[in-house]
Amino acid sequence: MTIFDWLERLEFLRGEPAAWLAALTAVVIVAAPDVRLMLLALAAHYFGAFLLFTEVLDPRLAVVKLLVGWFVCLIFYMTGRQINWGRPPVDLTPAEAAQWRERAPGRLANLPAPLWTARAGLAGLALLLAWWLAGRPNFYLPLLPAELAPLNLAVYALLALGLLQMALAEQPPGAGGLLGAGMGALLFLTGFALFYNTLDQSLIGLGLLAAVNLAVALAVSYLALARRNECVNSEL
Amino acid sequence: MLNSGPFLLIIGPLVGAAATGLAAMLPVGAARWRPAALAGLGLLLAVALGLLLALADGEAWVVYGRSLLLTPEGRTLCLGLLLLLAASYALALVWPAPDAFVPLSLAAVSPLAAMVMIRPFALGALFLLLAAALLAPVLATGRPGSAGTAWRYLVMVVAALPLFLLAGWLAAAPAVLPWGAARVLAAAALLVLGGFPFVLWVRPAARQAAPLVRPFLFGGVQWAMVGFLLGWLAASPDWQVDPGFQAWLRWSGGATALLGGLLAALARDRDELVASLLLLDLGLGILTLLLPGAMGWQTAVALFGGRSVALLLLGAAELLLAGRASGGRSRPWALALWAYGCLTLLGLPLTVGFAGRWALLGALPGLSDGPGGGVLVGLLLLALAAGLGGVGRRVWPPAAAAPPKADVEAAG
Repeated sequence: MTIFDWLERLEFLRGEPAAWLAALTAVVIVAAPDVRLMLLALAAHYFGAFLLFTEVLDPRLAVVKLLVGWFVCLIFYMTGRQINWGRPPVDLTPAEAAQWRERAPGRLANLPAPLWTARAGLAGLALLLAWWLAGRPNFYLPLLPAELAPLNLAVYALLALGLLQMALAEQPPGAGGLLGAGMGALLFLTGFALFYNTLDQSLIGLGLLAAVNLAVALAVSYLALARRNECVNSEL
Repeated sequence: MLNSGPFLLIIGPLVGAAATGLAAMLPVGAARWRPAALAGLGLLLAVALGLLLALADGEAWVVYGRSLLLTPEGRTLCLGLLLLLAASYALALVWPAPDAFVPLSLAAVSPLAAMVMIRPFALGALFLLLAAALLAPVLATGRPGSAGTAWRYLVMVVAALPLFLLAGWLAAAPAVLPWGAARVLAAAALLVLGGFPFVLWVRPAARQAAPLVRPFLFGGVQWAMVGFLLGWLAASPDWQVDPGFQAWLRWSGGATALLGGLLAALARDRDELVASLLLLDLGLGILTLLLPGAMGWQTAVALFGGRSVALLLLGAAELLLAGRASGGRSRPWALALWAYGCLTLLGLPLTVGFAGRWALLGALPGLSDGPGGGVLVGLLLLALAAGLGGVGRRVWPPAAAAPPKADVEAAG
């Protein structure tokens, strides 16, 4: 089966369903309390983004975006395994584990709700704002054909949620937090790429954007491992 | 192909980085002399690349329909980058730098050179992000908080990328945004150059970066960014005279310099002082983007060259002073070197930094019709004075207070 055959089978997902898939998976990435869940959502997000990219690019080029995205997920998966998904190392004694300063999922001030509920609320608000903007003709992205209107939602949602995810990174960030923040950067880049590729479909631009995604993923992975070593060296 | 400047600048550093990266994986038994070996290899490669570049004739290389053009300014900039790296590696022969510094800094020369050479200019931002992704790991030195600082540095460049690409698109498209291309470019420039209000990453990065990493990160890389922006502005002269562009850069650069000066005056230790002085100089670096044509380029060369030399001097001095509990008292000449480095960073007379400072302060009043230029120069001089005060406090600390009279009498 060729890419075109697969796209025919997935015709029901193209257009607005793909935009919602990309946006909702981005919400999951922002709200999820566990890095593994974020990673699953990221993989699904890249699939939704691929379906959107097929609207503006040749499918054979759009599939490169999907492969790069899933490769990024693989990089994060291997890094996540090495940092034990942001949790304390498995070989700590109970006394050492009690001193471990990697941020546990915190609680929101004095409220009984866990932190992820606040993140989910903010993500939901951001998605609502993006949906509202995308529905107003004055805010349609310039030079976007009318048949590609669902891209407005996807672009606004990914830009907003990517920025939100980066802004919500804990200070100082833990190793798991850095991976999460890195996913936010990649959401932001994907959202912008969706818009930019409607303006510029040159091979070198596409290639450079793909290289940038991989480079950012590798840099974030390195930083997460470095942060892990900082925590280990300072505690043990 | 070795005769082609662009080819040499893209492929050469990557080959060098691969060689030093492989050398960094030497067996554990060689760990004792590995840092010096890496630095020596890096020095040889940087010098070789510089010589080949100086002799290369070719000035253009077309890749997938896009041109890489090596202008005389670009050649000077790349030679400067390689010279700076060579100096840093030479110091690293004596004082080991982080293992990742040599291969990653060499590798970063390739995207930085591509950023300066690529046409259309907007694509240079993608190369800038590639360079930032290579340099962020160099900032993560293992000191507590360094990974977070490196992440903030990367985030600034990620956030600036869409603005650069938009500016490039707006140049060719009808004005669909109320700002226009010039202001979009100004916003992107402030993000990557650490201009107010995007200054939060600068001082932590300056404090966390290893002493031999700072010259390349804040001297060479910033120079490459300014060179890229000046080249773009030279091709779009309307942008540089746009009132919004001028106003945003003028006041952000001034505010950054003033903030740096005030923080330097209040600095509590040497590291904080140097970071604040660097912030001050970053503000002045932003103002070079206001200067048109050859004046802007020459001022940038003088200013960033002075900054690079200052940071090299400061790095050497800090390494000499490190590990000595008595600090400057046991090595007064190292403290003198450190003080001279600070004065060079301030751009005072009789220092290498003076030429750039004088050129910039002399040119700024002529750029505006009203008193705004004079006010800006006044603020900058105030910032420099505050910075000088901060240096004075560190070099001549007040004498220790005499013990209270009552205690002395009781002891007697």
